Amino acid sequence: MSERLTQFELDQLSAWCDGELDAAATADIEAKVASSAAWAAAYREIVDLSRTMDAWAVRPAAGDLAQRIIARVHEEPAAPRHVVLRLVGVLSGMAAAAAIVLAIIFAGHQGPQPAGTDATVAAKKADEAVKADLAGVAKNDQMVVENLDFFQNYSVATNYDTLEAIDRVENTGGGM
Amino acid sequence: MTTRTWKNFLALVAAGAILISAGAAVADDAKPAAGSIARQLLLKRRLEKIAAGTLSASLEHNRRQWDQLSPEQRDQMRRTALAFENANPAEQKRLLERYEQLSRLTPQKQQAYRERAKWLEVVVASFTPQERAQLRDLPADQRAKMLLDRKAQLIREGKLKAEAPATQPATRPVNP
Repeated sequence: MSERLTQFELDQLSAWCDGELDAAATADIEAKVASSAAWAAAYREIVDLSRTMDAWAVRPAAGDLAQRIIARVHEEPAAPRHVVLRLVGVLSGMAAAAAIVLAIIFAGHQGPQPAGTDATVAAKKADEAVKADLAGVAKNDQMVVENLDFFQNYSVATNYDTLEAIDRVENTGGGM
Repeated sequence: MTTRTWKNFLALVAAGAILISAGAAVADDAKPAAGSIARQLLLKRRLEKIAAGTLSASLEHNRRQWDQLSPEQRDQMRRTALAFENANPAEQKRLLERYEQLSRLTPQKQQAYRERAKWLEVVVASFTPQERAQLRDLPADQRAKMLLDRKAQLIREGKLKAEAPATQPATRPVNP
């Protein structure tokens, strides 16, 4: 096993943390977390993130917002959208068509989803709050708008180490 | 036809429609896949803003900025978001860390970094791919000196404008 987990493995681990895997996959991930340092480290990182969410989740929510959101989660099982998109990226032509058809059919056959952890509920509540604030912005653009300050400074973030070095050189008189 | 057959037929029709626009749809949707590290990092950022009580103000500010962007600038932001989504998890984490570092600088220094990032793109583009690879392997300060040398050369040749004296920041300081 390599020292770093692949994107697929990270997704699997994240899904496990959210209780989204079936019994067999759950047992498989549990074994990996117990036996692999890389898996254990990645798990700790996700737990840290979840704690941040939980810290927010314990704050009292206004009215019956949480109950309404939880009820909606039960009523409307989420389609496996990320799986569909990933497959579209990997497969092509008829293979992609077959995968999409299967995903749509199986989505309709899914039973109720697990209620999720406090962190998941907190994340959904936060999602609702952002959607309300960004009402009117196209759905596909909401993530971009929410993080616009980051994306506007993306080239600075990308070259930050070099920019820092240039600043150092200029301020020590080593530049032109 | 049975209900199930109809359902499967409709699913096939839907899949056809999806396939027609699949490329554009996937390219346009800049939202990182559920469970991905990118999604978790952005979610953590959102929750930190909630904890700090700045989420609403940040969304409002970003939304105002978004409304002022031209269609081309919006497309550029969407492409940037996709580039972030497609970066590997370690790079995604590094970029957000660097952005947080940037946000801790004074507004004047943040603006200086943004100005440098602008000319840095021009300067880096003036190197051949082979030279760029060599630059990447150099220690940061040595790389900075070479970049500053090249910048001075480009200014002398009239290919790059000399920087104007530092003024007040044109945009609000970043506040992740």
